[in-house]
Amino acid sequence: MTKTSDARFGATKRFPIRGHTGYVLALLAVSVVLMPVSKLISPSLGSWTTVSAILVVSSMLALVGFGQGLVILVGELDLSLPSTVALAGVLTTAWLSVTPSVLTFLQILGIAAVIGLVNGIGVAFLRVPSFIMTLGMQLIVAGAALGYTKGTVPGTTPDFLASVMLGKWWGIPIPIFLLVGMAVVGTVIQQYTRFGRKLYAVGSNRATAELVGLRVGLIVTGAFVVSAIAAALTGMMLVGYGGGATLGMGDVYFLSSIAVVVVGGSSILGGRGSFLGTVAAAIFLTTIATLIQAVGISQGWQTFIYGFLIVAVIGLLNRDLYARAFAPVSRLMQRGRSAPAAAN
Amino acid sequence: MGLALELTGLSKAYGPTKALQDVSFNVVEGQTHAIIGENGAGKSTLIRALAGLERPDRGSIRIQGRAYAPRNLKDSRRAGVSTAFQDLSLLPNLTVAENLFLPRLGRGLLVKRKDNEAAAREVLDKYRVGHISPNRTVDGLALADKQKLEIVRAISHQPKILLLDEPSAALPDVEWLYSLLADIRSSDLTILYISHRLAEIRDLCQTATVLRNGEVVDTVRVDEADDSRVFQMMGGATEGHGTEARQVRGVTGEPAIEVRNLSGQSIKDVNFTLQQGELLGVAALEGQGQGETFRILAGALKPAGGQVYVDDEAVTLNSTSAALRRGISFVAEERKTEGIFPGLSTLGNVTAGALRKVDRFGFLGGRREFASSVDVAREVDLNERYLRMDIDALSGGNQQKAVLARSLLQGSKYLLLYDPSRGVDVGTKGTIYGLMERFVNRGDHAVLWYSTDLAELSAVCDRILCFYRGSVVQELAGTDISVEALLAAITGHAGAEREAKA
Repeated sequence: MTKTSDARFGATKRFPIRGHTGYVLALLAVSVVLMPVSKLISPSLGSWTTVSAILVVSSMLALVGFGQGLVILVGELDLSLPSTVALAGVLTTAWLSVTPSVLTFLQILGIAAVIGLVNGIGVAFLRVPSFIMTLGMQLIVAGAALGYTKGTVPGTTPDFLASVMLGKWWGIPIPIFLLVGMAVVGTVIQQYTRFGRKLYAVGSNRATAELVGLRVGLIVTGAFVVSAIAAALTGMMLVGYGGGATLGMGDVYFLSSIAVVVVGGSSILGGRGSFLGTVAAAIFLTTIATLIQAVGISQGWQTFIYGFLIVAVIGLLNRDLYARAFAPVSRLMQRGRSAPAAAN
Repeated sequence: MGLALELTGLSKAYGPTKALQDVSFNVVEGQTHAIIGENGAGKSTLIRALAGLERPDRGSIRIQGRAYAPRNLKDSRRAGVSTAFQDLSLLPNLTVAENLFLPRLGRGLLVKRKDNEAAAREVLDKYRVGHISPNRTVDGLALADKQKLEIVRAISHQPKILLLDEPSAALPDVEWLYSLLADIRSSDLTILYISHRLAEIRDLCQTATVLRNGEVVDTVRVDEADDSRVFQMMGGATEGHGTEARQVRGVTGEPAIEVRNLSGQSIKDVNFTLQQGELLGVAALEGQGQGETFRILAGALKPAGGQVYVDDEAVTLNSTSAALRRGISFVAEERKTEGIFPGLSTLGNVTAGALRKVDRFGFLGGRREFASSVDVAREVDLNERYLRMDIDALSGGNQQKAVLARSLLQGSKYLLLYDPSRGVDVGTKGTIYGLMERFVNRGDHAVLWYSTDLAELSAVCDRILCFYRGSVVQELAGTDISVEALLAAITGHAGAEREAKA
């Protein structure tokens, strides 16, 4: 046991967190193959315009997935992201277009931070299960957004957001640069800072984290705060990209923010995963969604297939599930093998 | 009278650990037979095998001459074997009555609550626990009542063979147990009685089997074996450790950690002083309050009363980070659940407790983190190539070294080590002893070390605290230390070591 198991994972790593680089590259490779292949389905696909559109949409999914990923990393879930995205979007059109200042910008992020703070305090200190806490917060924030707007979203898209999200540098949409920047900054935060390392430690083993002197409550709360801020930034990007805000603009992220983290190879139980995986999964899932749209079936069946695919991919990734599903088969095979032996 | 139970060549291994090796003994019908042994001697595995929770690798069991190979608890119950477990098997959210009758809660689909409670009332009265109300949920009961209920439930199945695993561990007095067993004793009922307490065994049992390291040392008539012989059988030959010349260390006599009248859930009036430069041993059977004492000192539990002094200063250790600020690091017993961070690299595991010392402007993963870990890794004899690997890929011994390296990196002056050498190979054990020696020789450092292995405690320590039932009952020092003396003290026979020597 000692020598063999030490040697089995003999590859040494500079990087102190479990590497799953191969998996991440595979996800990206599948997406890259799917993009031109999709031409067969619809001639409009596979062009640079569609590919860049996929990457632009991915950038928003990746950002909301970054926050969700940190929360999942500590072993919790944030279900309040959709309404946080929407509230931030609404406030962006209502406030930021009227007084486009850094202060207003920070005010909106501050409101998001408070949402995350309340989530964190409820989960980490009052011990409300994160599922309940954040689902409640989703309703509260959605209610606040509806109450504030009375159903019709005021204001318009701030000019600078539209120019960022729709603008181009050297023919490449600016959000693609944002996506690359996010991948770098997110990876550094998650894997090369004290804060990130603490998230890994807490998610890996909370009891040990407590015993080595980490302040688990503060760390978990921190993850929720960052998650809410990332959601608010996503809301702003959506406003710029879509040319306005709606109360339901965050709803797509309810499942996809979790899916993008898990499909990206992170453990839903916490402690394992990387942001690069999330970025790759964002591109992969957006590509799939675009393909489904192109097939030309109705909206309802599109959602049906998308949901089904997410569940299937997550199911396949879950090695325990896989093992359990095949346990009866392997048991039968074992019995088949041992039966003749018993006859001897 | 025939044989109720015949065990022949029973063996069970968990990986390289042999829990039972060729265990054979017989029990005559109608007798109460004791199983005696230290922690890890194989008593629990034996009980679990008899109860059908564990399948032995080899060997056979016969009950009244008939082959008996239970695959689960139901099989054992059908064969007339019933068990009162040490780690109580009651369901806390169900009522006393429901617990008594599970899995049979009434005929048909519906649970007949009134009938169940009436029947339970009868059972409780019959077995002298009439004060327990059948409609209360179990989690509201006192620990002693839970233990009584566990025993009553086992008896209520009208077994032919009754297995009692440490039945008195949570009972404040044994009167109840004595009268209950007197009530139910008959020529049809055979009892296997597992206990550390020799006095009880003398009162209740006729014969006894002594286990050590999973093997039967001997089966004896209780009235023919005196205490000192039993202790010797349990502890084994002292392997020459205890008599070796001890290295005199630089114990300065200055107090490092002082504990005065500490009390909590499982401890009362614990008093001791850990001195600067001292490697102080703690000996105890499982669950005698040593765990709570360690955790209070580590800031992980709050005491109910008493005072802790660190460096002559009264302190309140509210949290583990407060204890760390006072220079106290704790290594817990369960490496898997409280020691390592699975999924992180060994490097990440080593630095997790001292990120501020190894970062550069808040950033990690650089050369600095690696370099500062290499030093402590060397100190615990952990090969530096392991630092880059996932901790899950390391052997138990190397994981333990990484956990110890983490405590060293925290730079604490005082280490609380809770059974660090359990389940690790001999080489790692040697490393741990060496590490502790070097650590305390730094002068103003000290180690408080609990171990379940009495031989290693007696070989390494100059002074050992013996915990029993939540207090320090005896303190052995210098030449008074021997495995027999420790065994006697931790089983509640303080003073018996003199007889043992005579």
